[in-house]
Amino acid sequence: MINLLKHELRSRLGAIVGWSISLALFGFIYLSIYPELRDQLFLLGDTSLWKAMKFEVGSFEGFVASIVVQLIPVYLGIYIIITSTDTIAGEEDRGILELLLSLPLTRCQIIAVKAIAISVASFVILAFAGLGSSFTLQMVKGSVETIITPWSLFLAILSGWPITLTFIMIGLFLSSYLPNRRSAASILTFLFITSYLAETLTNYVPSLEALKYLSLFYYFDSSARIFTEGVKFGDALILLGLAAFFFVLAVLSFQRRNVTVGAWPWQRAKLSK
Amino acid sequence: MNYGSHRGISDVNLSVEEGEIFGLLGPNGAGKTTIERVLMDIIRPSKGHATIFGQDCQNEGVAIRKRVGYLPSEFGLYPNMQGAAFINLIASMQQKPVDRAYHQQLLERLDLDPSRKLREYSRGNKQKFGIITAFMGKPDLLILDEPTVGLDPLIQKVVLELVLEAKKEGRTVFFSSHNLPEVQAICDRVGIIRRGQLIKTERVETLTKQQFKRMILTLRQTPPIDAFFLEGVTETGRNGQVVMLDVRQGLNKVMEKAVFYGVENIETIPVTLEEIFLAYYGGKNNECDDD
Repeated sequence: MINLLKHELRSRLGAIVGWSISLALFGFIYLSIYPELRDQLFLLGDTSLWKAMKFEVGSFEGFVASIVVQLIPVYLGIYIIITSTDTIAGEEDRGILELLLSLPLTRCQIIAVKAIAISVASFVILAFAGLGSSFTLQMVKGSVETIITPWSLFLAILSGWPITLTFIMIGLFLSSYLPNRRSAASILTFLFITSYLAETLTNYVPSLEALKYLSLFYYFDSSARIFTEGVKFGDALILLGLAAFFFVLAVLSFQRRNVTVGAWPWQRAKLSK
Repeated sequence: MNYGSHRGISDVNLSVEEGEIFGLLGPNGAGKTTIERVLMDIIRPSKGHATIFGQDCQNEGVAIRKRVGYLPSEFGLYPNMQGAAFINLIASMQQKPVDRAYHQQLLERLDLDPSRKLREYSRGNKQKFGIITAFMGKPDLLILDEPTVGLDPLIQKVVLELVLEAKKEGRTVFFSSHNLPEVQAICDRVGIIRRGQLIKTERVETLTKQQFKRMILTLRQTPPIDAFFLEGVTETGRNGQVVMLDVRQGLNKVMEKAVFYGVENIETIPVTLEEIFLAYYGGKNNECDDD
């Protein structure tokens, strides 16, 4: 099992490096251009559409939270959708899963290894993005007055991990439940986008406010408050609980899966045991 | 079992003896691969169960798979991995001590250089990786799905030698193939599967000797065209006084007729497994594409 985990991590090394550099660069660019854009952004700060989009660009803290802290996990979502839906359905499509299942490993071990590998990869990517952004903050601190410390920015970016983890586990569940990767990726993309839009729209449209609890992004604080009040551990726990729930669903549906058959869940026969 | 709109396998009741080579025959879509996948717990049966070494394939799959080497009919490899690293990875997960000398011997006999990335290998060379990973742990049971597909004739011969060596060491081999001469050459017993049902299990020599007799009769007089229109007898050819017959039953009636027209010579020809297989399928390969 350890050897499989090592292999899974090693095979993700390229993606980890690429995504870490890209997201660190994203933080670097937006933090370093802020001093030049400060006045224009201040004027835009009161625009209701920006507020609805949860972009509080009127202050540096709001800008960093809205752009860097909020968007890094959103962009990382692309990697999550690609990778998590590839684990079961994708590997089944490519014939790798049949080879893995012929080894003396339980299905639970196989899916757990894959879940751990993607979770670690996403954590490392966020950590590097956080380090890069914190380093940039240290560089621009002389030209901006702010309460944000490199450490608090690092923690704020890492606070995107629970929501990332939840989407990883949903992707893993869809990948083990649906017959092919295309369906799993389509549904996860839909869930990701609607969840993000639902959270921003419920800010904008008061009549939709009650729906905000249904959006996973509601439990991810990407407002300037994160730098004063810190990470909301209650919300993080809700997301981690959901991640655990979807992981259990993924394990259960993988146990039931007739690998190589590709049937939809309602077409699958009831198992004898 | 059935899955989705696909037909699966049903009423497959077969046992394989320790130390024998058992061949599973059937056209595409007959259910050969499904049987092997059920044994490997890749597909789970909706009814019934499969056991290997007396253990349930579903509940004790891990213990079973420690003693089994499996070659799927179609499998994928990690394209960016180096061949040798792939073999080492699979070996490390098989939870068996690695016999480096045997491992090296397999590489040499199969003429495989594992130093390149897996995506660079041809289909036949990828098949060799599957064969090596199935054989390298010297498992007690080998389940091989079309092991010689995509290989050149020399390597096909090596694979069959490996199978025979496994048998010599007392290990069991369960394999499916479309290549009937190779099945006839190495298998002790065969099972013929049709539309998901096992229709015959027999020792190869019994099957080839008892199933039907192919006779060439040389008679003194030219018999009329309907002379051998008998139940269980098919006239397969005729050249004047020479008549070729496949006789499933009623040999005594054939002999009576032959004596009536005067017998000059009777020759019996050994029947191949391929002919028997075609007889079961009426000469047609009419299953669906998916195995």
